[in-house]
Amino acid sequence: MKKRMVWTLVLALILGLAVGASTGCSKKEVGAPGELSAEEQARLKAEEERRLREQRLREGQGAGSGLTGTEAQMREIFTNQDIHYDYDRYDLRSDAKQILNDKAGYMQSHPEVNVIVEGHCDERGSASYNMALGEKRAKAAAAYLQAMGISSARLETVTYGKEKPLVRGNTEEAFAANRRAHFVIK
Amino acid sequence: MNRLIAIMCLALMALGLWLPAEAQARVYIDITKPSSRKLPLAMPEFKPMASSQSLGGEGNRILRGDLELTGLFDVLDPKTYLGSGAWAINPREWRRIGAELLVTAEYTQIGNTLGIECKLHDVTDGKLLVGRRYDGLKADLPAMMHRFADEIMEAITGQKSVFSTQIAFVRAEGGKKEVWLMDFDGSHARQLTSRGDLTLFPSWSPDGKLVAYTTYVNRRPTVALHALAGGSGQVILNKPGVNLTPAFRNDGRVAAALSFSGKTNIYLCDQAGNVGQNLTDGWGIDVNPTFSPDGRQMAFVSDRSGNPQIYVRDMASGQMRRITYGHKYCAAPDWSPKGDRIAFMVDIGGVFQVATIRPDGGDQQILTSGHGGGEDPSWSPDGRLIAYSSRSTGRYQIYVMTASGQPLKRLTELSGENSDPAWSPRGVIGTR
Repeated sequence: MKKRMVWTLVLALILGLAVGASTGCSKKEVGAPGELSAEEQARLKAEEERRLREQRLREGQGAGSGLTGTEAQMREIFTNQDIHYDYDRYDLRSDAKQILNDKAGYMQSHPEVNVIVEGHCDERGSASYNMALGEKRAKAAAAYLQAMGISSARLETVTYGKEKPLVRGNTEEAFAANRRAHFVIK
Repeated sequence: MNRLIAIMCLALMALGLWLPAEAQARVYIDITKPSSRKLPLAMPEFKPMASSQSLGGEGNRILRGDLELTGLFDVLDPKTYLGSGAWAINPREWRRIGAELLVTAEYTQIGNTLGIECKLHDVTDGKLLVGRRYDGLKADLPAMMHRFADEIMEAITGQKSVFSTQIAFVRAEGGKKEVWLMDFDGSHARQLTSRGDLTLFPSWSPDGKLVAYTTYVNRRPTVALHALAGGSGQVILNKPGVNLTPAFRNDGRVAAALSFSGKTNIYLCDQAGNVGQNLTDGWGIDVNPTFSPDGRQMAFVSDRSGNPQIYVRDMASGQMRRITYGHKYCAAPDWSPKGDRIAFMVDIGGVFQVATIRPDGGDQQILTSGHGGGEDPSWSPDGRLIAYSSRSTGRYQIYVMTASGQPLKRLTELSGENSDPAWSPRGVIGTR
């Protein structure tokens, strides 16, 4: 009788260790899978789904596709991608119009999004003329978005002239990067 | 006698009077030419009266700085020639070291009180040209010296100079800009605005009691008036779009560039912010008004030709004409207080320079090409000097030169970027 009890105990210990190893050692999960409550099953499934979604996100990032990204990515691209202008000009270049087409598309699919269009200039020239020029740049971008069907009520224009350069320095590259319209989601 | 004639000629020229040909031949100093000879002026150390404490050369230093800032004088240090105690020497002796003018002063400083007697002599005939006595506190010494410097200038040129003036400017630190004030010589710099965002384009009212500027309110550039007597500045123009570059007309009204119509045009407004007449008709950008002293004409910047150029509008007829040609970027005009020239900034081969031009577009002169470029010129109220900003040392700082482009002094020695000077009229409260 005593021997049997010892064997049972050893068996129970071995079983317990095995079950513990396979289920993560949670007290509630001791036992056969069929004994999991509906609540537990739902939780596990949700966890698996979350893990899978995280996996997809990482794959999406690896692929680097701009247009087929997730919500967060699209928003990031919308706010990070500036359009650029030629020196002392506020008409829209063809590369700027392509980017604005994407921005209009994003705003059409996101009617809740309202936008501040900031006009900026490079550091050369008069601060006052540049402040007026920055407004023309922002207004030109906003007018294009309106022509693409975006309501003017969703667009605010701001000028910062040459007061807030993105890049420091007096190289042509810095000047070109600073002559921009920047888009901020309110 | 020749010296006296020279002084008289200088005075007449400063008054803008036409001189007969034979008198012109005898002019010693032509203040409109950078190569002109300066008047040699001797200034021995001020003499303390018996029982007085010593000023330690402070009075000499201030007065010398003032006179050198005019660009008219070559201030001789008599110690170099005659040793200390030179004040005791007979005025005629000064001719030996080449002086034509002599400044002497005697003072009594006891504790906090100071009395000082200053004289300007014509060395040639020993004649006293100006004599003044000032009494006050020791802390008033700068003000006393500035006043006497103005007396000297009045005796030599027929009009007072800039020694009771201030310069407003824009100081950038930590991504913010505020309007600051300093005395005409760069001393006594202090902050005027504390708006915590971007505040720029300062401009003085004709009576020197108000400074107008552009200041951001909820991401929008607005126009505010700031009383020097106190307060934090009151926004008077906050129309949709931009409200930029206020400038006073001689009648006290304010012109500013407003874009509420979709075009950026210049409007004449009252000090309460009521928008009146539209003064310009450009399809794009019209900005930066500046008025002739009589208020009958206004210069401004417009891009109506495709790039920024200076235009002049006749206020009575409304007619506008372009006055700058041959350069692709001209901006920031400032009309001289004498009325005869307009200063502006112009892109010459990729570097901005300060230039002046007649209001009819004639006789353009580039002034700063010899010393590292310049932007945003502002005339002194006597029309003899121009303050401007330059980044020739890497950061923007404010400098002063004569109206003919002779460099005189760097005015700001402050951290951050210091730019966009606006020279006050004479007699502004708070000048030391």
